[in-house]
Amino acid sequence: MPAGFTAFDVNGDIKTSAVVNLSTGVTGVLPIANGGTNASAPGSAQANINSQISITTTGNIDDLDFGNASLIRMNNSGLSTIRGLLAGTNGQRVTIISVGGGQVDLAHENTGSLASNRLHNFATSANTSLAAGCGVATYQYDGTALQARWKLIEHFQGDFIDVAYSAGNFTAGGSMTWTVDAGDQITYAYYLSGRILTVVTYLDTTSIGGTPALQLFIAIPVGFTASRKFQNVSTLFDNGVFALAYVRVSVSGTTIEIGRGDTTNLTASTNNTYIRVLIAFSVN
Amino acid sequence: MIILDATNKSLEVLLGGAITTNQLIWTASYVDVSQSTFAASAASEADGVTNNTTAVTMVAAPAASVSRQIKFLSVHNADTVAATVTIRINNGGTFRTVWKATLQTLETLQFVA
Repeated sequence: MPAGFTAFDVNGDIKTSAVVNLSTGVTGVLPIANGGTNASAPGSAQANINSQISITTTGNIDDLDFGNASLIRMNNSGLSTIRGLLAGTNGQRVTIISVGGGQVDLAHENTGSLASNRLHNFATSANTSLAAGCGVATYQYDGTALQARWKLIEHFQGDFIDVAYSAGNFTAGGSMTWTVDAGDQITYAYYLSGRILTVVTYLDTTSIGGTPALQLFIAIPVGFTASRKFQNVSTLFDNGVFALAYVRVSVSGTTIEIGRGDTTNLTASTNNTYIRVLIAFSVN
Repeated sequence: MIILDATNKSLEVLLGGAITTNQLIWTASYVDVSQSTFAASAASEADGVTNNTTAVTMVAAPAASVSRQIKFLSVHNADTVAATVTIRINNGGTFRTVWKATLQTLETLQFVA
């Protein structure tokens, strides 16, 4: 055993040996980690406890008991949605990293978990995601009375996440119809950074019918809503003819609007309308 | 290593609040060394329990011209709730905190020189 002070948990495992905040001189109350060992954190009252736990559960996970580990390895094969972690001590941190083949979603203020166990994310209108095998997020516990939560302090989605095909994600204005077949959806993906959502779509050989009108609509992925009006310039092939296009979101909107740059009606086509979208905008 | 090198220096333990059921248990082992010859004159052990927020002397002050080298300390939380433990040097009435943190139930603090 190294010389100095060492605290042991109930199992006899090393708990911590860092005790003093070197910058303030204030001694700290240290969190526990079962089986953990201290890596010390000069200048901080918080011990950086090296311990980890692996989770393979898929589906919704409420009030996850992670043993106060500092690292949660999500080794899920399918989608896992974490909706809460057992409450920590003030200032306690935990990092969640995706190492499996399944996406990990982190639900904001989900009522499936006890209030003091809930996650509080940057973006509030939909889940914050970790791309399978590469996303990572860190939460820090804020034990303030009546609003105790795990607060998201860092998040890297890791990669664009593809949106599963659904015909309902593609609609049109007025009496116009827009048919996007599964094979037409070459790319439809999103990346969340803070409260900035980047959406990219690459749609080929789609069809326009009914009464031609001004706009097509693509659903903003996974239920996010826009918090500001944003517009960007893009391109489309309107019944095979190149044209500039605008792409736009509106406050509280749930769709990305696409129209010709010259604000004329789109043209009816059969498998001959091609849409390209790249837009980043703020979300709630 | 913790050294008590004057007759007015001792090592104390106290809690941040009153216990619920059981006082915390402590032990201490130390060696006395002559400050002139550096010869060890005694090797001793002390043990006891805490007294809530009242400081308890774990290692008493050495005799004159003797340095008391503390080799080992332990504090075990035998209470049913967490306890904030302070270990401090009492230097003639001036207190210097050496270690302070919370021990959960059945956790143990050890100091090894």
